[in-house]
Amino acid sequence: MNSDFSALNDKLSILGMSAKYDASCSSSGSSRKNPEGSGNAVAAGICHSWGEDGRCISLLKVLQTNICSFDCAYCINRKSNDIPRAVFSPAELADLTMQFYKRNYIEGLFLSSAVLKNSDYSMELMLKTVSLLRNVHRFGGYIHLKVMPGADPLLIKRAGFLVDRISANIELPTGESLSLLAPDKKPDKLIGSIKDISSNIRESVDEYRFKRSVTYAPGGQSTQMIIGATPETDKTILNLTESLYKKLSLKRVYYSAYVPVTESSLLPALTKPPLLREHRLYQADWLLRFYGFKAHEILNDEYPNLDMRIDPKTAWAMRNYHLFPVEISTAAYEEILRIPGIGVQSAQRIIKARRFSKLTFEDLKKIGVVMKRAKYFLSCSGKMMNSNFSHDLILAEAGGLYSEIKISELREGQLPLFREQSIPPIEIAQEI
Amino acid sequence: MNIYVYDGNFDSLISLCAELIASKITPENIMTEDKSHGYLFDKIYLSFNQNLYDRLNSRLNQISKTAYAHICAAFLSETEGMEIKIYNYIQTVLRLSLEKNISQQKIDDYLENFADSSIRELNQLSKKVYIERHRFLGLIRFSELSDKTLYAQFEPDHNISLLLAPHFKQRLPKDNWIIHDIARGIGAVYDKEKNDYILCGLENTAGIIYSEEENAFRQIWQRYWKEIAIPERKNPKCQLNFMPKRYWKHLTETENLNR
Ligand code: SF4
Repeated sequence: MNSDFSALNDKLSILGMSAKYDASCSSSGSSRKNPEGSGNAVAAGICHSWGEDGRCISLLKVLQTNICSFDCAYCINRKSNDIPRAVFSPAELADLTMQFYKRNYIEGLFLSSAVLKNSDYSMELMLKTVSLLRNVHRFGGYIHLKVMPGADPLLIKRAGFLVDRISANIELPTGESLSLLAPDKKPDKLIGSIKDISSNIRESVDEYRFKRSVTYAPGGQSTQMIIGATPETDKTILNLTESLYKKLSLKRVYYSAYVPVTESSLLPALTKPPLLREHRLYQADWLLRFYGFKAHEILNDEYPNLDMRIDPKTAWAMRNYHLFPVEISTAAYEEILRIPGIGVQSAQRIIKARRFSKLTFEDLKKIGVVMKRAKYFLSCSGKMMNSNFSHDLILAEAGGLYSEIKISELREGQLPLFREQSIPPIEIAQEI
Repeated sequence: MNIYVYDGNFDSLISLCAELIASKITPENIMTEDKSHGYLFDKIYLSFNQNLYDRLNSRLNQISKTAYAHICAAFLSETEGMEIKIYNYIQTVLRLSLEKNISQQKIDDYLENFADSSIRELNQLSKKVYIERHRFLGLIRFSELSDKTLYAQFEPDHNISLLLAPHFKQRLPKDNWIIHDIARGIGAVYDKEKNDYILCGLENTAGIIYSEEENAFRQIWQRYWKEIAIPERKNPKCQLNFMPKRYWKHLTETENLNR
């Protein structure tokens, strides 16, 4: 390698390292065709590779710079941390993205940044990169841009028209925690950015009738929060999630198990990131988005935290056993969807198949129902396969049903998708 | 025993199915010549019948485009026993369309009735093919050759080149590219001047020369790939689940790890 390339190699290494604790790698939600340049985006998202941690690599996830004037306690890039620092020039990063993209290493760019000088300054750098890609390279691939904390609303507005997905980190579940760990960030400004983005999106959707396309961040808005660095209950987290989906129409909320990258008296002394908790939160999140659950059904004052031993849907069903068994031949789709062991795909198949014949337990199995789990909660033509319901039995069985590997399968973009247009990724849903 | 033998072409299979259905014969099995070596007797050869082929082909398309796409995908699976599954499925589709007063909606619904084994089995096949296709949309790796052509080798389980090509035509319309299925000795070759690709036999890969920059970008990517994993979350089992070892040989990031 000549020296230019080896400098580039080192720079990417530094700025990739600094970006890697970000949870989202999703490239979904936007489809784009590009008549003039190269590149398209596929609605379901495409994973290109998987790292040793089993996470999908879809986008070139990188920071514009890791030089930061803030000092957030949980972050590897905080001002007071002694690590190598670097800055990508917009041209450099745009070129590199194109080189990776045409070799099909990646689906596009996930660009974030630390706060060099101030939020607006770094935001301008990122905007330059992105507009080089779109306007000079005619790049039609996926771009996810993370806006800088408290950036000028005008910059946020401009950014959204260039990218597929835009996100502003909420960082931590409550304002108190944020003020404690990230004193440079103002909770109301973070929420303010999220609100600005959602009203920009709403405007663009309203204009859809005239323009025939959503031009502002067609892949929608997402956000991310760190789990396990602060004392909030799952109930607090899930309620917040629900209002982000409902009131601000976010596409996704990502949870990122806190990885102890630094030592600080403000932070818990964890030895391992709380991955199982993160997994359970993602399951609960799915129940909100695809299964018609309300946050208060999953968690309440009596049960403020998710049961680590069992998935939240089964936990809910066990607490509400008076609602079962659900009769397969007559129940509504919404009821069937609530049976543990039945996912979105199986529920849809049941509705279709039962019009033609009476379904047996054997049929259900073939359709894809996890009977081992579902058998306690359903009946076929009045008969139950197993009515010996007991909490202990289910908990014991759960140990076998949920293996390590499934934990990481839940992350978006890692699902073996079948149809590109299928919106609720179905495979995994069977597990819930 | 009646085993029907055909030449391995899609059209021949459709023609054969049409003939069997027209003469109300239920075959024991349908297979290609090379797979039928174990059977000495009871092999039946029927020659291609253009008329029957045309009729069945357009009939299937007319009844349901989705069903037709599933049949094609199942054929491309090249798995053992796919022919008889296709035959069973075609029978189901035809029988359905002949029911009195049946609406299109009802046909479409029935084609998703997984309690019917002919439908379930065919869908399982086509699903396998589409899953592999989706995987390779991501796992194809191009290398830049000295004439700037982007060249990719891969060895899929199913014959998916034709299903991948339209995606890359859309994605890389301004580059010449080749995706080469080296297991089958075929490839999709795209010409940017013509803005179109052809599927053709491709054998020889000797004499391939990379562009000057190619090696540098490979190394940059390899390092990035290695470092992006979070050590505290290490989970090789999960990695292998999504990216089985058999694919590693042709991935830029793992070319040196596949020992
Ligand atoms: S502003 Fe961002 S990059 Fe800087 S320390 Fe805080 S979280 Fe890290």
